[in-house]
Amino acid sequence: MRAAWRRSRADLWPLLVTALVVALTVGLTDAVPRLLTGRADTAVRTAVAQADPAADLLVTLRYGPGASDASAGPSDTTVSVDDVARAIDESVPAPLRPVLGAPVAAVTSSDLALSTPDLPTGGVLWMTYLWAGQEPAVRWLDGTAPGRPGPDGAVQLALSDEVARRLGVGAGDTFQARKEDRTTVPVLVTGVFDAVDASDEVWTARPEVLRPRVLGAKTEPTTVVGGLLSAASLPAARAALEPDGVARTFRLAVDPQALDFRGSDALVKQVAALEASPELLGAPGPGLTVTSRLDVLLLDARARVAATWSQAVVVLAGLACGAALVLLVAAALLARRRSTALRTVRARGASLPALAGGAAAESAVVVGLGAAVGLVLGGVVAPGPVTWPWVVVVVLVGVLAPPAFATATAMRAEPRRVPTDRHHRRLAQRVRTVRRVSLEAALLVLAVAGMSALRRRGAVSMSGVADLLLAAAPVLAAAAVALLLWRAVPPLLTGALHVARRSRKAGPLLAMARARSTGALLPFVALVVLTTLVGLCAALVGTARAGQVDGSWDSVGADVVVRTAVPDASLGEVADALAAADGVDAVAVGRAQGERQVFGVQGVDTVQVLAVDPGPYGALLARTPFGAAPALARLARASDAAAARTDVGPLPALVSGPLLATAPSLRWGDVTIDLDPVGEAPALPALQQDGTPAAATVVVDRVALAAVVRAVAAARADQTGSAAPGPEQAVVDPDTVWAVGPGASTVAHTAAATVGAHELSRAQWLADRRADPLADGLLLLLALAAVLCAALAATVVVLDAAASAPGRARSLATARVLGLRGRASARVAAGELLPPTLVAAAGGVLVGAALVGVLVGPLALRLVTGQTGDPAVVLPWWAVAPVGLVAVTVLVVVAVESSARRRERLGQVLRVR
Amino acid sequence: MNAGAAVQVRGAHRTFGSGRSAVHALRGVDLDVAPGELVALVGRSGSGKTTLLNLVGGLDRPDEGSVLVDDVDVTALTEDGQAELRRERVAFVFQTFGLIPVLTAAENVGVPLRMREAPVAERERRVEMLLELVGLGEHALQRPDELSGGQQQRVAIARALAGSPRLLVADEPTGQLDSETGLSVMALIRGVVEAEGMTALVATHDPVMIALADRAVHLVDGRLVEAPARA
Repeated sequence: MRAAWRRSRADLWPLLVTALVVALTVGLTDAVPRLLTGRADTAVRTAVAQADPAADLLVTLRYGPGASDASAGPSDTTVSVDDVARAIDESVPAPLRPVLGAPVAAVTSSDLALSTPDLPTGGVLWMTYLWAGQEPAVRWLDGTAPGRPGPDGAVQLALSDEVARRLGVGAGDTFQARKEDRTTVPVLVTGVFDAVDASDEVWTARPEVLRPRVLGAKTEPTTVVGGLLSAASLPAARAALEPDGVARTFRLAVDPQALDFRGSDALVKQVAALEASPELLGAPGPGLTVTSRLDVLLLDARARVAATWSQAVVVLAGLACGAALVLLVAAALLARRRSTALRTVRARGASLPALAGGAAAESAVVVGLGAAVGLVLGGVVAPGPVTWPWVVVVVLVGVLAPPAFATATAMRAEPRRVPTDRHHRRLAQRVRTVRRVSLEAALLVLAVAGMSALRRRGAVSMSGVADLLLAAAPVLAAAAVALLLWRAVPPLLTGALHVARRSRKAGPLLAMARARSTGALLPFVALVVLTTLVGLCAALVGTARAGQVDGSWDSVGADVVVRTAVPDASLGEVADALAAADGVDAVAVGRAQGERQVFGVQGVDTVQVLAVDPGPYGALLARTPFGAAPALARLARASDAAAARTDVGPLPALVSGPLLATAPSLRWGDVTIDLDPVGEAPALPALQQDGTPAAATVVVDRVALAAVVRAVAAARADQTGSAAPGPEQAVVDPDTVWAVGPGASTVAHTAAATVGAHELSRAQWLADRRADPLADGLLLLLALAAVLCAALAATVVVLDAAASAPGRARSLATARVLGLRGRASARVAAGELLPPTLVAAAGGVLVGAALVGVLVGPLALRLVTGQTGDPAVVLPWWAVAPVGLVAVTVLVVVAVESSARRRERLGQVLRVR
Repeated sequence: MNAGAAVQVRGAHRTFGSGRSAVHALRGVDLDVAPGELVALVGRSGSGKTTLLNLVGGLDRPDEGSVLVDDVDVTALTEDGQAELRRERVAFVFQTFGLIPVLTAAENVGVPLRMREAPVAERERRVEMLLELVGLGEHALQRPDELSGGQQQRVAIARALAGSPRLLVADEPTGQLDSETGLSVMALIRGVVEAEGMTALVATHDPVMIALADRAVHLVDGRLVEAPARA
């Protein structure tokens, strides 16, 4: 025991390095999966919480014909609504129960047209009965609650104070509500109320009951209001709207905080099952449907989590493999330092199992300590159950490598001598070559297979241990390239050695001769793999961050965009305010209309129509990464005549390539207009307002479009005697304002508020994207992995230098005895260590950058950047940092060795060793 | 002072360690070696032979006393000065040969010439000549581990001669060789010392080597004892 302790103390620093590598790797690989799980939970919750419209489960059913009785009372409502809600609540499948709230019932009429003194242009009324365990609590400001119909047969209804004021009616007033078939329903307002608690979830089922909602263009607004029915008045409303004028909707709100990633798969299945078989809910009535966006949202979130997890697994696999290589290098160093002792002990009769056992016991203690520290650190960072697979891999390599190397060293009890017989020498060399080539070929085949599979299937497809080959594919590729590089190093060094031989000086010859003779494969491969991982991580971070910026342009299209839900001429005022403000470089106003049909030679295509003022929009694009668009100037010139046209004629347009040589037609509203392609549409934002990829875009002049549409509609009216052009045809109001400039966002925020428009700045989009828990977590992991791999690379350099240090020290001491100066010997040492180290590091960084080019698609990095396509590869400056780091490490090692050599008595070289 | 001596050692003391564990390797050694003289340094293991050679060769410094090589006070030299001394005036032959294993025999022999940045052509000529001199012309491109012990020591001797040193310091040059090979190496040293006119200080136990020397001096517990004159 004491001898073992002495031996360990003599090799303390390699053992400490081993423990440190194990601790860091175990800590990271243990904590990251738990951290990602936490991020995945957050991502799922955020996706559902931010869903618009909400992800709630909606159960809808009609009453059916002949089921109503105007004279029925509250008990009928209890049976048809309250009891059904309770039945639904009890039938909700168990996995959904913790996630869904109690049903909130809303029994709502179909759209009823109404006109009142204060709403002469008319509006839409929804007569609504609300229930959430009970009817909503209200304060009666005037009148009473609705009841059964009186002698006049009118349906009794209560209105909220705000709705009553908007309609200009009060308690006791009557009005006629008109059904779709133009028959009328008499309505009596029995009371005006105020909600006791306006935030009560019961009101969320029909918020229009408390607050009127205005829809449509500002020139033709439609006011939607809700009137409150009571349990007593609902039967009369049902009878008045027979057969299908009243629908029951039961809204089961989703609690995002009750969601987690692990349980989301079951929820998706349950929601899909309910949507496919709504009868599972046991709700009686015809037309039963269940709808929810929860399954779609969860599937989308799960896809993003799966992508992030796959990306993380690739990084973790790389990290674990890199750490394992470092542990192997450390074990090789230990065996080398102990080679004399091992051979001596072996020569004295120690068995190989005994030697292996001793080494294993020592490594088990060292690795065990490191792993324990790592697990504690991992647990502190992210509490939870241990992620065993990665920990086991690292620990196994750490424990088994030292005995394996020790045994191999002891087996060579006699130092290997070169056979003096040339034939035996060649034979031995051939055997070694065949063995080496076989191993290298196997690794190459494995790497090619892994990379091919990864490219074909994508990292997102990974699941389970079987796909570890996919996860390790980048490391295998790096190792394969390392072998090729390793084969390239000797010719390089031989060339340098030839030059050094022709030199007058001793230093270059010594440096190159030693570099040529002392290189070791394992540290070289480890260095290439680790620097590859640094390059890969750095390039992934650079690519993702640059891709996010590109994604912000694709999504916003400018520094800021102001949008309205419906076309609104008042956006012109927003554009004017922006144009007049300081810090705004360019402003454009237009209309982005998706889902429009184009009829071409090849059939019907769906396109996005961008109706803009070509001049300002071109000036704006020129100030964005999309760049100048000369085609817009051509469009402007061609559109001048069309804008002044009153007769039917084609509309100049910029179209996608396939439509260029054709004569397509565009469906706009209820008219079809001929297009005159005058050029190809320029590079434009690739995403629509809702974040979905934009279809092919047709760009037209907004004024010309309005003129051509008017002319076509007028001609049709002349021919058919139909109605005059409608509002949509008469003008092409804008729905979007784009602006660029440092002050655009601030000005747009204020201006958008004045017209009730929605404003989105590119900076905000970017901030939201970067704050996304998954994207943020992945980029953090990549940065951490890059730092750790760089540190491991530096460690490999130190271990490798330590392994060759005794031989270097002897050679340099001999050279110094022969007259080499101290400074020159440091240069010789640097000249020996730097070439292979720099080749490995530079090669690794290049391989990493090249791998990103190959992997950016399979790793689904677009899900991180928010782009429609794969981002362009960007290599940040710090990707090449490992080259500088290992060079500095070599110089530090050389400095330390030189310092140690100065303390060594040169005379000892004369002694027998 | 003995003006004209190749090596003058006066009152050299060298102690390793301190306190009770101190080892007094040399205790006031005085030694003169005349130019062209081959002196055998004889003594038991631990008597201070290697320490004395280290002081003379500028590989170590005495705690007291002085060491002059060609009238240059070795003890007063800086590290770079000592390196220059070794490069220009002193050559070494080690018991362990001291060859650089990654270099060929020819490259090992050429190292002292490279230290002086001798012209390439001159260096190659001299290396070839020296390897022929030690009988290893056909082994120029072999590395030390491809040579026998005797061949390695011959390469070491060729290397020692490469820079045309004034002083050859050899520490047990036949210590790891069999008697027959040792004899040939000793003869070689004797021959080249005479041929090149250099001074040699050789630490040895070998009576044949002692017999080949011009004179032998004995070191006993760090003190020099002149041996009886050779017959």
